[in-house]
Formats: sequence, C-alpha cells, structure tokens
Amino acid sequence: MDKERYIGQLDALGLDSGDAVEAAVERIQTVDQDTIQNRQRRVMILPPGELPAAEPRRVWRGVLAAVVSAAAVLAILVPLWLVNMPAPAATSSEAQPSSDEAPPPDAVSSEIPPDTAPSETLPDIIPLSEPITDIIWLEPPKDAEYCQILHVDDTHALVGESETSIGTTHPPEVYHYYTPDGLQWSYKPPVLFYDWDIYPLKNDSYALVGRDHESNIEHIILLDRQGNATRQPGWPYSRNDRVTPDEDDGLYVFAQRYNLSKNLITLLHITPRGIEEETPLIFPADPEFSISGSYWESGGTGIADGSGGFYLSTYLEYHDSSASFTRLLHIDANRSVSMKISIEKYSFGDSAFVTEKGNLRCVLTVAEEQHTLLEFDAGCHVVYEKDVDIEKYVYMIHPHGNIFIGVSGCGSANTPIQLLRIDEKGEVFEISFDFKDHVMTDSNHVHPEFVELDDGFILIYDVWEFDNERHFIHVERYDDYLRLRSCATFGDSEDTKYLLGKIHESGITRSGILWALE
Amino acid sequence: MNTGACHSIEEVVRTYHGTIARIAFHYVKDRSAAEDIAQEIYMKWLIKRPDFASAEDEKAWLIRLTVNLCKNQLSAAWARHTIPLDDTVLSDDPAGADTARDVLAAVLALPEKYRTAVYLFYYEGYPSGEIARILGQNDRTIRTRLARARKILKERLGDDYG
Repeated sequence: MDKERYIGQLDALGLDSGDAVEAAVERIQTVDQDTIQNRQRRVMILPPGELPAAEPRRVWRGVLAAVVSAAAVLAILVPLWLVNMPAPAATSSEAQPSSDEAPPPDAVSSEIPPDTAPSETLPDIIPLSEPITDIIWLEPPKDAEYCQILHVDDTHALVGESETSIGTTHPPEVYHYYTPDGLQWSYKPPVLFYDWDIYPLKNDSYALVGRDHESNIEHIILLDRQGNATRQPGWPYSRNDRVTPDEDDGLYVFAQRYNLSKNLITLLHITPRGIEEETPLIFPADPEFSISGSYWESGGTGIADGSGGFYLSTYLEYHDSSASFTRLLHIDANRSVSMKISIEKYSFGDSAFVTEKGNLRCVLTVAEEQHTLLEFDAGCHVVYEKDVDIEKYVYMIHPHGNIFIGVSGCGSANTPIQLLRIDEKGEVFEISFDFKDHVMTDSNHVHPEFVELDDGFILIYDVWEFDNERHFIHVERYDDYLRLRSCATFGDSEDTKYLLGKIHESGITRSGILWALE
Repeated sequence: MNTGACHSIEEVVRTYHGTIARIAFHYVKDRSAAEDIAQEIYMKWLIKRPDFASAEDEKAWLIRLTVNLCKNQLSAAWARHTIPLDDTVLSDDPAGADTARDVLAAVLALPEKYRTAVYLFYYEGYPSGEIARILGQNDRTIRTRLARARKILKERLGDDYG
C-alpha cells in the first residue's frame, strides 16, 4: 500500500478545502430551530431505567409499519411476478429497523436505542444467485479417521480428531489448529477427559475442561495460539454449563462443591498461572422467597456484564422434587450478589447477552411454544418484559449484536424453515421459506448451526434425507436484516468431499474444512 | 471543564468536516452525497448536543455515526437505483485529467467493509485497536480486514503500490 500516494490522491479531491468547509458551515447554520425541534420530538428521551413504553411512539411505529408492510409486500410480489423466482416471503408487518446512530462512547445514553428507530429502509429480497465463492478448503490431518471442527472464526479453526466420533463421551484424542495457511500445530492431551468441552478464550486461546471419572476431579487445560498447553490443578467442583473468558488468556467459571447437599457456588478465575480467584458467593436473603430443605443446584450460564461482574442463572430443585425454580443472580465487581428467584421455568442458556447499559437481555422459552423477552438491570429488576409472538417450536435463538436471530421449523419433514429476527422490544420479523426451493430435496432432518459474523451471520444446515440416504450441507449467509446474501450447497452421497461445519455428531467424514465465509 | 470537545456546531464542522466527508466519500463515492451525509451528521449533533469526555471520544462518535449513516444510505431503496459515480468524481477536480488516481480508485473498489479500515489506518493514522474500538469490532477482525485489503490492493496495483 502506497500510503503517501493514497493520501495525496485523497487530499487532491479537496473534500476539506476551505470552500468546502465554509459551504458546510453555511448550510448547517441555515437550519432553523423549528426543524431541529421537530426532529428532536422524534427522539424520545427517557430517564435511565424507565420502560420505553410510550404510546405515541408505538402509534407512529404502527402507522409506519403499515406503510412499510404494504410496500414490502409489493417489493416482494413484484419481483416474484416478474421473474417467477423462488424467494423468501415476509410474513410480519414489522418494519426493518435502521441503525444509523451510534451512542457516544462512554456516555450513558437514555435514548431508545437506534435499533427501534422508525425504518426508512425496505426489506431487500435478493435472489439466490450469488454463490459463496470465498472458501478455503484445508486438508485434514494425515491418516485421521474422523475430524470435526470444534470452533472456527475468521483467523483460525480448531479441529478435533478421533478414531470414531466426537461427542460428550467421545472426547477428541488430538486437537489441530489451522490457519488459512494450513495446519499450525497439534496437541494431544495427556489424559482423556469426559464430560468435556472446549471454550474459546480471548487472544485465540482455548480452555479444555473435562472430568476425570476415576477421581471425579475437574481439570482444565489452557491452550494458547502457539499451542502451548498449561494444565491447571484439578478442583473438586462441578462446573456450570459454560465458562466466561476473561480479558486475557484466562477464564471465569462458576462451580459448585461436588456431591454436597448444601450447595455453595464459587466463582473461580483461572489463568495460565493457576487459580487466581476463588470467591464463594454469599446470596442475600430474599424476603419474598425462602429456600428450606435440601436441594441441589445446577446448570446455569455465566455472562460477563462488562464491568467486572457477571449475570448467572442457576436451576434449583429440592431433593424430594417438591419444587424447582430458577435463580437469576448478578454478581458485581466487588462480588456482592443481587438475586431474583424463579425468573421463569427455564434458564436463559445461550439466548442472552448484556446490553450496552449493562443490562441482561434474554429470550426465555417459558413453555413449549411460548417465549418472553426480558431485560434485567444489575439489581435483577425487570426493566422490560414482552411476550414474543412466536407460536411454534423454535430450534434455536441466538444473540446477534443488539437483537436475537431464531430458527424454527427444523427437524421435521416438509416444514418450512423460518428465520426470526427478534428486536430489542421483542417485535418479531419473520422470513419463511421452503427448504425444497433452496436445495431441491424433501429433507427429513435439518440442523442449522449459527456462525456469527461482524456484518451478519451464517447458517450452516446439516441436511439428512433418510429416504434417499443423502447427506449434505447447505450454507446461507445473511445480513443483519435477514437479507440473503449468498448461499451454497456441498456434498451428496456421490461426493465424499463433505464440508465440515461446526456441526455435532453429523456423521460427516473427513475431507475438507469450510473456512470462515467472509 | 475543558474536555477539548466542540462547543458549537461551527466548531464541529471546522474540526471534523474533512474526516466526515472523506469517510462518507469512501462509502458513497460521490462528493455531493458525501456532503449530504456530513450535513445529516451535523443535524444529529445539533439534535443531541452530546457531552463527551474528550475530543477523541467526540471524533470516534462522529466517525461511527458517519459509518452507520452511510450503511443505511447504501441499503436504502433509493440508493439501489443510483449509479456509482466513481469515474465522474475521480475526474471532478480540474487536475483530474492529469492526476493518476490509481491507488485511491483501487481503495474505492475494495469491498465496503475494508474501505473504512483502510482510511482510518492509513489516512487518520489510527492503530488497529483504536479502529476496532471506534467501529465496535474485534481488533483481530480489523487486522484481518487490513491484511486482506492490502492483499487485494497488491494484486490490483502490483508490488510497487500494494
């Protein structure tokens, strides 16, 4: 890159010449106060923490949504009529949001986040004519019998190798670290862990966590990007579902003393140097709810709140099975705990994230086909709650930026798959499409995997046709507004060059690796 | 308290117009459209009159706002019916006919997401970590984008410029 030449050529355009600046100053100074005040009225300012339930805005949105919806229908129908081409059909009246405003860094914004701003953008349906081309295929390790990608991002992939398959009871025997240039290093752990999992950490590091069944001891191995492994001493705890990366090469994990009737949740901070923090959490008494009798407490997901604290949900059940409930906890940087008991029947699992304000926003599946969007502040108070209008089984709901992306309609034959965009107010925008139109099959089972991109997301569908004994991968890339950008289909029974996605127990054999689709 | 941030819209325009216009130009490739976007940014500043802890925060906010507004403009219905004016704008100034704009043209031809990173890195001199903070991206993502952009530029311009 010839920097000086680039700067010179850009400067030559004179975008910041004296005349250009003066013209800009003059233009903005001619804007009268009425115009500014009119625009200000469209931006509702609420005190921090107050519910954004203002009716005028909803009316405005409703009118706008109706207009946009009509336009959207036309935008969809006209191209369909003209070109007779299969295309996703919008089924919701929800307008496409815009995100044209960024909050000031480090400033507390009390404005309704821009994601809910009235839309000036129509849904854009793109025909399925843009094949994914930027794919890097990597050779599997030599003589490997079975490989599976454990994690992939835009710089590298971690691949597990096993003689048979990889699953909870079949841990990888060797870990391989790939970059686009090929295999960088391999690591064979000294012991096979069961109930294992691998967690990506910051700095392209990983934590391998698992249990040694003989001793019932949890172990952890930290792997850095060069393949250096640090095995940490085991601890007699049972970990919760997930660990939380710290800002360096370490992690936080919420663990319980194993096999004790009286549970004590302990926060552990583990780094390559060892266990650096071990804080038993002391829960405050809840005047509205008391726990009596013996119980066990398990599950849960810890999510960093961005300020040195965490949100954590746990699941409690009395030993006599007389009652069960979920706790939501917030542990601040000083390790004091706020608590709300029984937020819903289910914990938030992966369907949660922390907002810029530090609140926890989650979509809870409260019944088989009933979902609720909830937002909690650091005191575990509900600051927003709305039933989400999805009356169907949802295969997954994944946080994506400030919103959620869901997929429903998977797992049964001839069921249209639906993509769901759930905005921060719980409004649903839905695209429904028939998989047959996409990949020409009566698929029996379709299992999507979600891959986050910084300007959208990828869904990798693992498709299995029982009748035809055909197995293939279909990949689709979408932008943040569910607009299909590109797609591709790989593999069939005649083609052993299957594509390995981040897919569980798919029966896919070795051959190629799908790299990040950026 | 003097934070170094601007106190008036005129100060904002005089301080940041070049940065805002150049970033917008990298997206819309059209001088008039870039100036319209700059005007919209100034309107938003007037409406919000945000407080910033420092001039750096203010600049970062304006850059991010510009990028977001450009993306929205490009995805708006009307934008899809406009024709990019790459050639027009590159011969817009009097010296255009004589001045080769090979590097700038190659940068403008990069995929959208690479252009801002290239501009902020090479023109504004931000390190990748700071670009990541401004754009709300991962540092690694920015470094990857810069590396890919350099690779593309090298292919298009040859070793001398790439």
